[in-house]
Formats: sequence, structure tokens, C-alpha cells
Amino acid sequence: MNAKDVKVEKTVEKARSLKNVPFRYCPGCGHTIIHRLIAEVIDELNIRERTIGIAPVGCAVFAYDYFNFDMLEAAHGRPPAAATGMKRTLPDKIVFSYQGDGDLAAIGTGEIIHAANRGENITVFFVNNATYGMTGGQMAPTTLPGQVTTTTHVGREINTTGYPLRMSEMLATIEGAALIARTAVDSPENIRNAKKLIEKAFKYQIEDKGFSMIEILSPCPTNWGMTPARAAIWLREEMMHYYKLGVFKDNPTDSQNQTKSSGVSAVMRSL
Amino acid sequence: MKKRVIIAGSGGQGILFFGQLLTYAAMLDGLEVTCFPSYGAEMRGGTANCTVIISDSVIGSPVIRNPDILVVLNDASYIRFSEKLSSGGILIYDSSVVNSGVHREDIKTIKVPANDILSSFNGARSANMAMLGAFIAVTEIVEIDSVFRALDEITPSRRRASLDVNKAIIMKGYSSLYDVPLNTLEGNLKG
Amino acid sequence: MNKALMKGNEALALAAIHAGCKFYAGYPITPQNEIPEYMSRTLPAWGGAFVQAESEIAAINMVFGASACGARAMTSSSSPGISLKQEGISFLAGAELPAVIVNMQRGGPGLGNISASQADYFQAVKGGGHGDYRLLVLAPFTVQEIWDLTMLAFDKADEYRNPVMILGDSILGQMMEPFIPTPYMKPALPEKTWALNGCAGRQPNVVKSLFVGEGELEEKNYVLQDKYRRMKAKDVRFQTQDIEDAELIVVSFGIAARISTEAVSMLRKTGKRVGHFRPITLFPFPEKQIHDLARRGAKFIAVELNAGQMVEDVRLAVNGKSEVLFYGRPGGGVITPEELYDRLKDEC
Ligand SMILES: Cc1ncc(C[n+]2csc(CCOP(=O)(O)OP(=O)(O)O)c2C)c(N)n1
Ligand code: SF4
Ligand SMILES: [Mg+2]
Repeated sequence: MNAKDVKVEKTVEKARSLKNVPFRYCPGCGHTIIHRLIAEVIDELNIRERTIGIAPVGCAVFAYDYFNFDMLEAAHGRPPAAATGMKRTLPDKIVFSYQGDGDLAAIGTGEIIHAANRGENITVFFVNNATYGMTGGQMAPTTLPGQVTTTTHVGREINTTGYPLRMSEMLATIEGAALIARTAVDSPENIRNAKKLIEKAFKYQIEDKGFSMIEILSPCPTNWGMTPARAAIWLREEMMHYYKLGVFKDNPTDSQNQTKSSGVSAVMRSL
Repeated sequence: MKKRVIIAGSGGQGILFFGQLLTYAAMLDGLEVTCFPSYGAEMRGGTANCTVIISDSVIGSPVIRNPDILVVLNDASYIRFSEKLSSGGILIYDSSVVNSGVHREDIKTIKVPANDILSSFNGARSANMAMLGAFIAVTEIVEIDSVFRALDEITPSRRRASLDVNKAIIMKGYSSLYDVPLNTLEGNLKG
Repeated sequence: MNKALMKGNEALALAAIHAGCKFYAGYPITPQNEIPEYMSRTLPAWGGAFVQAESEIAAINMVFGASACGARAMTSSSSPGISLKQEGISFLAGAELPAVIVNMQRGGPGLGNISASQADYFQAVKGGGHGDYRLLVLAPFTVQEIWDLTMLAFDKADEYRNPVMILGDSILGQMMEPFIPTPYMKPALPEKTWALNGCAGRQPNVVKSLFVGEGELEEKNYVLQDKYRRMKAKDVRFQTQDIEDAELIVVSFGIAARISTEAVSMLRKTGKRVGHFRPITLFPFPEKQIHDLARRGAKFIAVELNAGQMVEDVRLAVNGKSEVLFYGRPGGGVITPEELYDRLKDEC
């Protein structure tokens, strides 16, 4: 780590948007880093008091224990729907959902596609760790071909289980989406990049530019059966090979979103 | 008093509008009334029907099997409903389009040549309004003024232009039958 | 006040708007399509948001989000769609969020048909989704009552912080009937201090249904059970007809009650000592009132458009004190008053 990274770490410790409690994720788990990044950005944008987050069902279900702002815990896969209800009700608030790959790319596929397609002015953080962390490492829709999980004992066989879903590429084809990007939290450089994208996504929402999703490749050392160091390498060498980092869509169509906002702008401001 | 009416025809003939006007007029007359239109899959295949019950006391079931009065605007409905008409009931049908013959001695049958009634209205196709006029004349369940007021109140603004024509058609359907006692009517029309 | 003439579904939508509903999400299904259609036309002009959701699952979760933000929120559907909503309804109950859920029932099981049915009684009153929870269930039987009870549903949902279900059926939703659109009067209700609307000037709020700490969920359940007990003590609603001297009492709700009142009136005219008891709240069920009537010696017959569901609650209420019979038709079969008259005349 260079001097700059250390500085970043220090700011993290102080984030107002995190409660003063220790994280209980496994050592080397990507969720910890991603929580920190989100909290930091919310602090820096000074939006903590108007932010509402949605915790998924997955290892990050306890996000509400860590984030120091209003939080909803939604049903498995349904955060984009809940976020829709929230943002349409309180258009002035900043609404984000935080979802795993089982949550977003399996049980909640319908909700994410349609929230994106409606161009909901919300921010989605999609934590892709290629497995079902919370339930003990079963195959996820994002599990790599050949990857061993507790339900693919000999490695994922594509002829019976299909190919891993590239959600970012898929959502980038949707007209309603404003920003779709994939990043990772395996290295200081990528962590910096992830933070930039997280900030950009929040700014898009603040500026009423519409739907954004930041996919974050994230290690799950526990279920991958690796040390944190080895997990970072596997993420880089195997996951990134299949899931290319990059910005797949960056097309804030103001007009489209303005139409929608005007329809809902009056809603609930009086609440 | 309790009259159970079924109005039936094909989609696009304004069956539900007939039912709605009748219901609204009954409400204006201070009567109890329910209106149960066909909906959903029943509308596939282009049929439409509507059950209207008008009473001077509280109405229970809005759904009935055997109407006292049946108004039919096409052959299919004639075939489907005419056997269900209660004994002693009144069948009012558009004789310009209904050809089927279900002969029943125990009912009163009123033929309304809706096309003839409409002929002076320059291309108007509102057979439903002609039938409504005839219906009011024959049954005297609601006041014709109430039907006109109902028409004023529920015609959507984009259809405002049709308002006066519709009133005239109702009036013509009404006067074509008014004051003719039922029994002679039936005899006349049969003969 | 002048009467209005509307379909049950439309009266329900308008009543919701008058009661301050600010969010509606739904997915098309017959026979309740007039509700989303009406909402889409009217709600935005009243400062609310309408969303046609991608599924009933999404719709109930949108309501979950909107309600968590403090908005009065509603969704509507019919039987198969209500089945899909069950997980979300359980989450609403677990998170103690108010919401109004409308079920215009149709024939089942499966895709069934679109005829009137009351076969979702068990699902509505016994929980429906997972976990030990109850909905407050209102069963209107006229368009007037649809208007009145829809307004009440929003108040009760807020009062109890619990989802309230309006259990109707195809006929009630589709029929038109004059009613008096009485203005909405909001009662005094506690402020929604729990709502998620930004933590400015206060500690952050969390709305959740996950309680994994030692004994935490059990504790939560006692809170819920206490709430259901309060509903039972305070919010039982019912209506009776000719029960004072009745030897036979017909028990029915919703559309079956309309059919029953007619059959009972016909029987009364022939001198039969028959009465009618109509639960308006299906949960809480008027068990004490029915029990008292049973102790007086009255015999009961539950009349339902299903194969026999509410009859079980009547039996529980009667608790062996008298006889309980059943008459019904499943699968969207609609009983006529004449049919019911024939069935009843030999029982009294
Ligand atoms: C309806 C429903 N089905 C299944 C589950 C069980 N479940 C909990 S978390 C989870 C998968 C979590 O995986 P992911 O979304 O990838 O999150 P991660 O734990 O990997 O971060 C499942 C299947 C549930 N809670 N609800
Ligand atoms: S199981 Fe995996 S995803 Fe879950 S906390 Fe542990 S490392 Fe993180
Ligand atoms: Mg995962």
C-alpha cells in the first residue's frame, strides 16, 4: 500500500455513515470493504441524513447494523421493487439497494431488470462473489464454469447449469439504465476505482439522471475455501477473466428521466 | 316491485351503456338498483351482457339466472338467453337483426325494428338507444326524463356530440311503442 | 348528499385515494383490473404515485418500500396474484408495516376461472404466508361498504401497524350500485416516527423483520399476538338480520351474504324462524357473538362460495353448543337465492 491508500483507510475509520461497531464479516470478505466505500462516499457527498439503504437477504443482511442512516431490510431479491416504492414516495431522498448475486441475478432477476427498464432513479450495488455466501456456498448464477460449490461438487457443469450470467452486460442493453459498470475490490487500485464509481452513481441519482448499477467483484474466502490473499488472486485471475471490468453504459438521458420525475415530483413531499 | 333485466348482444353494440343508463336512471328515480356487466373472458368472442335489477326494496344477489325482462340485440344472445326468461316475462328484441325463432307461449314478445327507427338519423347506428327507448315505453320501470338526465350526466365529454342524437333516438324508440297495451302489441307484432 | 354510481372496483380505488393513499402498485389480473386502471388515471393528480409492477411479487414489495417510508400504500389483485404476494405480506406483518391489500377473489385452485368465489378465506384469515401473523380482514358486501371499509382499512392499518386485507370477489368488484360517497374523516393516529425518511435530527430508523438475537423473535411474536388480541377486543364487526327469535341462523359474508339475505327474507315471509349473521371482519371473527347465539340454542348454517372454509370458524365459535351445517358451491359456482331457499326450508 502506498501513502495515499493509508490516508483513505484513515478517513474510513471515521465515516459518520458507519455505526461504531466492528464488522462481523469473515476476514478478507469483500462486503467489509464495500460497506466502507459506500459510507465514505455518503459522508463526502454529505447525504447521510437523506439516504435510505436497503439490505438484501444474503451475508449483507446485517448491513443495517453497520450503516448509520435509515435502513430497510427487504425480502430476498426484492430490493429494486422496495426501492421503487421508496423513491416514488420520497423522490428527494437518496435510495440505494445492496444486493448479492443470488439476490439480484437469480431470485430477483425480474425486479432488477424492470427497475432498470423503468429508469428508476435509484442506485444499486451488486456484490458478485460467485456464490451464495450466506447459505453456505451453493452455486450462484454467477458461479464460474468448473467452480466447485456445495451444489456443484465436481465443478459447475455448463451443460446442466448454464453459463454464468453477466448482469452488467445484460443491463447495459436496457434503454432505461443510465450507468452500468463493473469494478472489483481485490486491489488498492480497483478499490479506488470502485469508490469513484460508487460516487458517480450516487451523483447520478442526486442529479436525477436515473438508474445506475455498480457491479463489484468481491472475494468470499470462506466459501471459496481460500485464504484472503489467495482469494484476491483467484478473483483477479479467474473471475476477471470472465467478468471484464469497465463501464458498460454511461448515458444519462435527462429528458427521459425528467418526464418521469415530473410525474412523481409532487408525491409525498408533504409527508 | 322488483324487475330483473338482462340486456344482451355483441361487443360494440353498447350493451353495457344501455345497462349503465338504465341503472343510473333508476338511481335518479330513487329506486334500489344493481348492475352486473359481463367481464373478462366472457367478453372474448364478442358477446356482451348486463344484468340490471331494479327494486323498491334492498336488493340481495345482483346475479340472477332467470330474468323477468330480456332485451336482445343479436341472434347469439337470443339463442343463449330466451329460454332463461321467466314464465310471464317480456322479451324485447331487435327484429332488424334477430332472425332466430324460439317460440314460447308463456312470454310476451316485443319486436323492435331498430333499423327502421334509426333510418331517419342519417347513418346513426345506436340500436342500443332505440331499444332503450322501446324498453322504457314497454316496461315503464324508469322515467324517460331520468334516462335523459342520466345520459347528460354520464356521457363522456369526448362523446358530447352524440348526446342530442341519442336522446332523439331514445325518444323515437319510446314513441314507437308507447301507449300500446302489451297484449295488443304482441298480437299486432306477431301478426 | 348525491349518490354516485360506480363499479365496486372503481369505488374502492376512489375511496383509497380519498383516504390519502399515496402509493399504488399492481399487476393486471381479472376481475380487479379496474383498480389499477382507475389508479393510473387518478392517483397522480392527487399527488400519489402509480406503478404497474412487473409481477405481484414486485408490487407487494413496492408497497413494502412505500409503506416503510410512511406513505399510505395499497396493492390489489385476485387469487393467483394474492398467492404470489404472500411472502411480501408476511414481511409487512413481521416488520409491522401498514398496508392495504385487496383480493377480488376468483375461482381456484390454480388458474381456476374468473367467476365469483370465496375460496381464499383460509388464506386471508389464517395467515396466508409463513409465520404466526394475522391480517385484519374486512369483507364488504355492497359498493357502499366497499367505499366505507376501504377508508377504514387505511385507518386500521395505521392504527395497528399491520396489513389489512379487503376480501371481495368478482361480483362485488364488477357490479355497479349507487352509493353515498361520504367524505373521509381521518381519525387521530399516532405519528409514524418509525418511518424511513432520512435521519436528519434523529437516530437512524431500521425497518426489518429479521430478529436473530437470543429470544428476540419470540419477544416480537408476543408483541404481534398482543396486537391481534387488541383487534379481537376492539374491532369485531358484524351485522344481523332477524336473529332475535331465529332457530336457524345463516352465517355468510360478502357476496354470499347478499344471496343469503334474500333467501332469509323469502323464508321469513313463509313464517320460518330464520335469521342471518354477517361477519364484516373475518379476522377478528365474531366468535363470541356466535357462541352466545349458539348457547341460546340456535342452529347454524354457513353459506359460502367455496367447499367449506368459514364454517370451521363457526364451529370453533359454537364449540359444540349447537349444530353447524354447511351449504356452498366451490369453483366459481354462484348460489341463487332460490337454490338457498330450497336448501334452508327443510332445516327450519
Ligand atoms: C425466498 C427465500 N429463498 C431462499 C432464502 C435463503 N437465502 C438466504 S441468502 C441466500 C443467497 C445469498 O446469496 P447472495 O445473494 O449471493 O449473497 P451473499 O451471501 O453471497 O452475499 C439464500 C438463497 C431466503 N432467505 N428467502
Ligand atoms: S461467507 Fe463469504 S460473503 Fe459471507 S461474510 Fe464470509 S466471506 Fe463474506
Ligand atoms: Mg453471493
